[in-house]
Formats: sequence, C-alpha cells, structure tokens
Amino acid sequence: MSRAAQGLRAWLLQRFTAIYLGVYLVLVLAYVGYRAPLGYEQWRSLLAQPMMSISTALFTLAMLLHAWVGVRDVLMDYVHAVWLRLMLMAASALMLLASLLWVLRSLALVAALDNA
Amino acid sequence: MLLKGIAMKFSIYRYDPDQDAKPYMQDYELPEKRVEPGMMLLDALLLLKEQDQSLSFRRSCQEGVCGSDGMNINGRNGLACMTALADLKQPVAVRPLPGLPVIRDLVVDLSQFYNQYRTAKPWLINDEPCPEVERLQTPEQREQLDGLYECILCACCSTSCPSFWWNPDKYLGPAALLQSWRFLADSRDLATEERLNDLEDPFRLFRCHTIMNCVEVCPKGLNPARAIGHIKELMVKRSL
Repeated sequence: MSRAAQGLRAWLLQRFTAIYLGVYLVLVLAYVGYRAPLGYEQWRSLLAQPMMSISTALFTLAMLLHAWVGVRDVLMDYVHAVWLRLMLMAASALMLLASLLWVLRSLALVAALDNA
Repeated sequence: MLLKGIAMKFSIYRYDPDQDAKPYMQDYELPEKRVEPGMMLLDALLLLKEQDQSLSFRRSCQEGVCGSDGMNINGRNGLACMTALADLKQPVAVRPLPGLPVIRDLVVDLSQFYNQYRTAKPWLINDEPCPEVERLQTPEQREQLDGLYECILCACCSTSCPSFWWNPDKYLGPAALLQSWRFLADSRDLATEERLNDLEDPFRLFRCHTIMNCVEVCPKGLNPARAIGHIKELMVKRSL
C-alpha cells in the first residue's frame, strides 16, 4: 500500500468495519438477551452453527482492523518519537493478532467438539 | 448585565522572553468611569494599554474583518473586537492563542499556521487559455463558495484544534483545510486531482477526528469540519 493511500484507506476501513461491528453486536445481543440465560451447552451449540461461527470470525477480524486503525491514530497523534511509536505499534499489532488467533482456535475447538 | 457603574477585573497573560523566566498572569482593573455600555474586549484592552504601555497584543481594523486580535478569552478562542465585555465572567482571563510559540504577551508566532495555509495552495489553478473577458460562474457555482471565502485567517479554529496542537507541522489544521475545499469546490479550478493527491497521506487531512472545536469557535460562523467532510467525500468518490 502506498503511503499516499494510507490515510483514506485506513479511514474507510474504520468506517466499514464499524458498520459490521454495530450490526453484529445488535443482532447477537438481541438474540442472546432473548434466549437468556444461556448455559455452557447452549453457547457451545450456538457457536457450532456455521453461520454463527463464520460471522463471529468475521466480527473478530473486523474488530481487529477497527482497533488497529484507532490505536494507530492515537499513537500518530501523541507519540512523536519514531522508534517508540514503531515499538508501540508493533506491540499493539502483536496483541491484536494473538487475540485473533485465540478466537479462531476457540471457534475451531467448538466446531471439532460438535463433530465428535 | 448592565456594565455602567461596575469596575471590570482582568487577568492577562504576560510574557517577555527577554526579561521573564516564565509566563505569569497579571491582574488589571478598568475603573467604572471608563467602562461604557456596548464595550468590546478590545476597547478595554486598549484602555488597559494606556495604564500599562508594556502590554502587547495585535489589532488592526477593530471590527472583526482583519482577524488580527484572535486570543483565548476565558478559555475560548475568539476575536477581542467582537467579544462583548458584558458577556464575560470576571475576572476576564485573557491568554494568547494556545499551542503556538509566544513572541510576547498576547502576540503569537503564526508561522506554522501560515505554512500550512500555503500548503493548501490557496489560489486558483487553471492552465487553460485565458478567456477574453473573465471566467464566468453560474449563480449556483458561485453559491458553492459561500461559507468558505469569508475566512479571515484569524487562527482561532486551528489553535483550538487538539490535532493541530499535537502535529502543527504535519496536519494542515481546519483553517487551511477550509481553504483547500474552497478551491476544490470552485468550478474554475482545474487542479482537483493534484489537490486531493496532496491530502491523501495519513497526516495532512486525516488527523481530523471531527472534534469540532473549530466550528465551535469560528468568529465568522464558518464550518471547517463540514468542509473536511466534503473533501473526504470527494476523495472516496474519486477512488471508486
């Protein structure tokens, strides 16, 4: 990605992911609220449904991208020492990636449990 | 509030780099016989300068056209000549515009502000041969410039913008971006591509987080945040 396009693309990415995050949260919270209280078994079977697990994986990805743009914005605004900004950006990216892997692993485990 | 018969108290930022180790606030009082109804803050400052000739500030037209006397009044940026004394809580705290280097008292160094203004290329770019008479606009095309051309470059907006405080060297700030849009919106200007290319990096335009302080303080009632929104919109349309 060229440096020139980073401003517009990051800004657009944050807006589009926000729409998905909003829609997912409203729908899932409404569903969970309607079916509450959910026990372990209900959560497991809910997350084992392909629709649910795919949309949750997408949600995590969208949240990761959204958070990345936000954290990057804060660091660009306030941290002016380039090496420090680079370190903080790398640390945030690592943390976000680790969270994504953790969610994907959990979803895979649930799917495996369901098939067993 | 009726001002007649009330002495006015002021607390004014003083700093002379040649003499003072650091800035301080100095109290002033305008005796009641000098206070008149309908007085503006600038009138009061001019009277205080008679008391203390070392008090420094910029002013010129005294009627909100030149934009010289932008300052921070009770925590809010504005023009001293358009701020009625009667509307101000006492003691009136007067400070220089925030975020810029202070030259002396209320006089700030506006170089960074003007540099960013220059970056916006605030002139008409049109390489087509000159028409015989003039480049005409329809009334509708002319209307697009309303709310943009009125800017007097007083710097109240840019110096109230946190994004400009943190990155005055990289972020254009609301005043310069309003001018950017003023020329993007001009039917006679042909440099749309060039202007948008200049703004597409992560800093020059996209440090705006729609904090809207600029809209809040503009003494001319202009809306730089909306202009910035229009630029982003145009950029998105172009990239599709």
